[in-house]
Amino acid sequence: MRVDIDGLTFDRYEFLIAGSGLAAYALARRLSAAGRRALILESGPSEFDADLHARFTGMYGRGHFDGSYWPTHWIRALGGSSAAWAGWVVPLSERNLRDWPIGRTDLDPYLDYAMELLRRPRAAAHYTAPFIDGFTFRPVSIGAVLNLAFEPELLEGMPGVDIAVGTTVCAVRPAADRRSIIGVSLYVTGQGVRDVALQPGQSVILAAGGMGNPQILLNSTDGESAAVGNETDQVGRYLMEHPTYHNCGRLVASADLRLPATPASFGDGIEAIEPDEAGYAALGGRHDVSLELSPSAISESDPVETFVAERLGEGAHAFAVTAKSDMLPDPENRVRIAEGRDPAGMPRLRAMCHVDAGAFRAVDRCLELLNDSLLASGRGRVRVLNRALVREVEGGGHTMGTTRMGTDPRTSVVDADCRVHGYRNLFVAGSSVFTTGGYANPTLNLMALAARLGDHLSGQA
Amino acid sequence: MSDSPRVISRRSALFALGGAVVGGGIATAVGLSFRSEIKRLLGLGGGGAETLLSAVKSAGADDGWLLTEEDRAELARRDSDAQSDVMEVRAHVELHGGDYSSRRMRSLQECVSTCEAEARCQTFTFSQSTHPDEGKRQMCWLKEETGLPAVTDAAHYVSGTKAGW
Repeated sequence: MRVDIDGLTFDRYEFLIAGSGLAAYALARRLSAAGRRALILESGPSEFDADLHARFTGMYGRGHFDGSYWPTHWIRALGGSSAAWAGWVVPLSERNLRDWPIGRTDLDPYLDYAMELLRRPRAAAHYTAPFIDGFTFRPVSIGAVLNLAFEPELLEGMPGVDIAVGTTVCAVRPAADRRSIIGVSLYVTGQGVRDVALQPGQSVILAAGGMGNPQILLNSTDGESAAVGNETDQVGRYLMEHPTYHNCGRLVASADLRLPATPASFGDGIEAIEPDEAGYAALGGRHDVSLELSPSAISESDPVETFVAERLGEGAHAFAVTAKSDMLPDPENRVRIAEGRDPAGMPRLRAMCHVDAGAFRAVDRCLELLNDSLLASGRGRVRVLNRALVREVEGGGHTMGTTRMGTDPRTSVVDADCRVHGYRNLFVAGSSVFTTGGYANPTLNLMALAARLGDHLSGQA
Repeated sequence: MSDSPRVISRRSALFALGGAVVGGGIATAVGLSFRSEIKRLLGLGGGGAETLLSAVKSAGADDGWLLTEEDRAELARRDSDAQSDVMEVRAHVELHGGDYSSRRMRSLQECVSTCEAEARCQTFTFSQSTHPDEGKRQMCWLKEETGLPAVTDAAHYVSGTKAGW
């Protein structure tokens, strides 16, 4: 239920959760189901206020995504970035988890659970079908979006879970031995900052988004010692997006080349293909690629396209190709503390994020592989639109990797249980823990990870 | 110095693009022009960056298609091969004005045959599929006038006349 922060007895809760987006929701649902008591602290108001949002999330950025980019996917209001979610659902595959300390078997039950929360058919999380040689048909589930801002009762109706808005978790305070945190610093809108001491047994989970999570950690310092979780200077690093290459190719196919029909159990989908294991290895085994194929009329203004269509015979048809890919996790792609403060007094962020050359090359090579396969069967040709691919790359609206999961504290921030290395009672939920990004839209996956964390925290895992 | 347009033959006007081999004994009018551009680049005819750019463009912009050798040869044939009993066809010539119709055609041959078949058509200009301006690719302008101003050394253009040049 909704609570007022004034006069609230924090000791009633076992868990304090920073943020009220879909990660917090999945996490709190599991805690609630296990009969545990949690308090969700949302920095923003009940209803989105664009000016307030801008004052909180305003930041700087260079590289392929500038400072005006990231805040559009870091929503400061009840329900968090669920308000900006487009509803695309696709799970990370086993090969996408290659560098993670966990695998698909760890995630599978939680992917199913997250599909349920998102009201999508479970089957959509597991469906693939054969396509032409070298490629697998793997559509993206689409449908009604779960926007928690429109359904606040979902957040407010969880037994044992309370929620307060207008309350920003600014920082966590470490114990002298840095094995736990012993307090949190809260900014209450219009009232200023207050410190809350944690009781033994209380834990904090940061679920404040791919920018918010590192911001809280980087702000958790007295100015002299390292910020909490940043003892090895890893917080904010490995910032990743999903480079998206809109209309970077054309495919003209013969009449007999059709995409598989997605089964009714899948629900609605965006038709897409990915390279099979051999193709993935041929791309270098570091960058996964998805090619979305949208039916398109044969372009009459492109003489080569009409020529190709004629050569492929009666019924030849075309697709516009939009690609999405991995970005290599790179410690130099990072978000840092910068000049200026938000209304809570937290330092503004500056992001530096460049899509690696390997990502462009993987998409390019993937389109070549597609062409090779089509040529071998005499069923089509591909056109690579170089400018769209190389110069017009955009993001997917996904902020990942800034509190990376790993076994080695020298190259990661949280462990396989999403616990900040070294700290007994500090955890992170959300796509900031992604070790690598695959091409998969993060929402389903971050919810699965958060639900898994919920079970871990309540001793159910 | 530019190449003077070449009359190939009254019965069969065959051109090859960029030196593509189309068949034995077929003149490579466009290819000759390209080689002359290279000569200029090498300092044989003067010129600088603009010449370089123009030469690269004349060779045909990369369209991004991943085609086979056979595809490319067939595409070149469609841009350059034409047979006619009544028309004289010249590569690298663009005629200005006098249009009564402009239509997109799949080949030079289609443009030639259309002009041949229409009594109103005296001359035509065809723009090849490699034209840098997308809107002009494979356009066939049918003209009802003779004696129109002609631009020679016009890369990507082919023109023909019923009355002789």
